[in-house]
Amino acid sequence: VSEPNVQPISAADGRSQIRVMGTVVRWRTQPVEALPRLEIVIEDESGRATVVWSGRRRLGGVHLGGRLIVEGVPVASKQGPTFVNPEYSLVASH
Amino acid sequence: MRIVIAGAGSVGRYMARQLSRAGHTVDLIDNDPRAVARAESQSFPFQVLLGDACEVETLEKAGVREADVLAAVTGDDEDNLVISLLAKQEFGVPRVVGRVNNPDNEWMFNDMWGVDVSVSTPHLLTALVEEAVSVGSFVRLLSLEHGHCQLAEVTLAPTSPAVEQSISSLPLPREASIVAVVRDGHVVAPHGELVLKADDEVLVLMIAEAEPAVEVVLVGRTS
Repeated sequence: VSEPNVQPISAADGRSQIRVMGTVVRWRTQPVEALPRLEIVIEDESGRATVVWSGRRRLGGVHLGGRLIVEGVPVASKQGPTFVNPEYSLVASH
Repeated sequence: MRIVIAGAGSVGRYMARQLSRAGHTVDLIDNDPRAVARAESQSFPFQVLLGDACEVETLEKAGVREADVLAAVTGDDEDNLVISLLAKQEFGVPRVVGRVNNPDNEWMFNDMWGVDVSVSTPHLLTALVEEAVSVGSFVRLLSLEHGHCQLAEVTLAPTSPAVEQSISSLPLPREASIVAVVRDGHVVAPHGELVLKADDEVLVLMIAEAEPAVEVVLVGRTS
């Protein structure tokens, strides 16, 4: 799949807007009594990034093994780059 | 470090003064021209920007994209939450500090709204009052890592089971660590052979779940 302006996840090390594509390798939601939050990890050949959406327990189409394009400003953290509430689009599996 | 402070009230101005004096690059934002004028009249080398910090353009202008820390310290909790979220979500600020004005709102000042560390004056005051009046009970001083981790203090009562015990012999859970002991006004390094005494102030860093077990060890009763 070739998508315009997509960069490797390893390039998401700065504080600038970046567009990356990866496969969901972890998917974690919160129990009903906790505040809603969905946290996934996406992976490409170059590395991994965490993506967090607050206020949601699930998002349609976002599931383990699915492919996503994520666009936002990553925050550096111990677990590597983290996108907070980024824009996303689903990539059809081929 | 590069620091942006949203809110130029007495709290924001004080922080800007102290932090710029300590050699940090500080930008201060407020949407009230009077607060901005007051901040500008101080002869300190920080930048003051008139604008609404709840807007992305203002934050951009204040240099939030390059900031290492953003402190949202306005007198309005809603504003502080919006500013914190924008700083984290739109600018990837590594450390966002949020001021809680109304303690009822503290539950929102967490990663859900982009806040890494929240500071609540009413809670802090309560903790300090508790600390002053209580010997032999647990006082939570600071919560870190979005509340997963906390620093607490116990002044050992003579009846505490930890009195006359060495630190290494205390059955503390693995997720808790004694980080300092204050004895007669001096900080004593908490090495394993140190024998605790009554009236020692013991500072413990631990994850929240370890608190009941730590309380049993240092205070003695299960609450």
